Amino acid sequence: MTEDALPLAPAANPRAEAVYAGDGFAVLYGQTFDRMWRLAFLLVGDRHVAEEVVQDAFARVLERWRSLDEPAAYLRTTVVNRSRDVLRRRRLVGRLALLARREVIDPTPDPLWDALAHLPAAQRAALVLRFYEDLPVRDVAALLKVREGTVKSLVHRGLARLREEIHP
Amino acid sequence: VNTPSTSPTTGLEDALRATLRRRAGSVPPRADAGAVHRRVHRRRRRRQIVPAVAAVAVIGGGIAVTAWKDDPAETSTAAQPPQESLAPRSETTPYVELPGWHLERYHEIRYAGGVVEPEYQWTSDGRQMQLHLYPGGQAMFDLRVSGEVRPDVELFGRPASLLDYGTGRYRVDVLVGDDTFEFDGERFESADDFLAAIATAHGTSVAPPAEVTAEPIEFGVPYEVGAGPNATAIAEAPAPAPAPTAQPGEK
Repeated sequence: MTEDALPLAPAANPRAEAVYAGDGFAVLYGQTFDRMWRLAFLLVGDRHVAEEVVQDAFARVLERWRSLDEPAAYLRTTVVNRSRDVLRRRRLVGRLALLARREVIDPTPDPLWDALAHLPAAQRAALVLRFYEDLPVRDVAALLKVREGTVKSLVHRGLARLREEIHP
Repeated sequence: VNTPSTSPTTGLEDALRATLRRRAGSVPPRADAGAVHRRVHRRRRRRQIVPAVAAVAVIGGGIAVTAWKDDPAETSTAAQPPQESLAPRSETTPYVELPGWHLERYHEIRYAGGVVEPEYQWTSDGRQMQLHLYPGGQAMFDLRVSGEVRPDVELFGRPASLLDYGTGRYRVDVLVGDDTFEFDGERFESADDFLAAIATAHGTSVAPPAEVTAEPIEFGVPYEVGAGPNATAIAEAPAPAPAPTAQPGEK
């Protein structure tokens, strides 16, 4: 079950808190943490940073719980935005190589994964949302706060760059 | 708009989908809802104390600069003697010892551009401790703690960012010199227990007597042991010996 399928904001009761009386946040957390962690991991490429991003996103949701009509949607948007912030900050720090940090658990060489680490943050985000989350273009555009044409361009350029990286 | 692409990149798209799914499933996530509540609590605390800490830091920084101008050597030994033992005393970060713990593994992760990140793994009485050093100064420290300053604890006389995973596992980040020291430990009874173990850590110029694992440089370039200053020191160190005492003002 994806978070989209959760009854987070039924039309008859827009207050998510009322829907999840009492332990609603724990329900949301239990049902969406894994998926959000995987999304963040694919966006930032570092399992520890991904955990930080997701924990931080959940903290923001919890702080705003009473005012959120769609906590799951807010959560995913926050995860994407925080991940992009991290990527941008890394670029400033000049440590893009960190994106391809070798994972101790899976040290197998993976040219495509390494090439993904070289992409600009927006291209990487567009590709992950499009090809991992399988989101339609309009939803990717809404999450990234860009036009649909921009998403198509990001995806096209991202794929082209990946192709160049793995088949120079 | 929403239909899958049928362009010539379809093969690449399929490969990308497969890679993303494989990577996403390679590391099991940890879930602990209580950690979020604790994080929110820390956020609220931070909003209350960060202005005060910032003011203290500014005042302290001014005092330190003034003292350094007067006598830098005296300042380095008298003002902060405990933490100086871990501060870089040469071009390279010193090796780290954790008294009472068994060093299971030491290795270096080397990135293109010459960046080296040492990593230590210790064990003691069933407990595990890992230390990862990230160069990059304050910017990297901010990155490791996701831009948050959480001065909940003090380590080596510095504000440190503590993360409680809620299952006896803790992580603490502290900036020492230009390096962020990130300790990650498991099977501790409490945060105090975790921090007390770390507080005994000190620097040494003697290479760890552990097997050195050659790690590949990112992007497939092979890395040979001995290529860097730390690795050279390891190769040349025949056996553990007492660490030389750093001289005040030594570069």
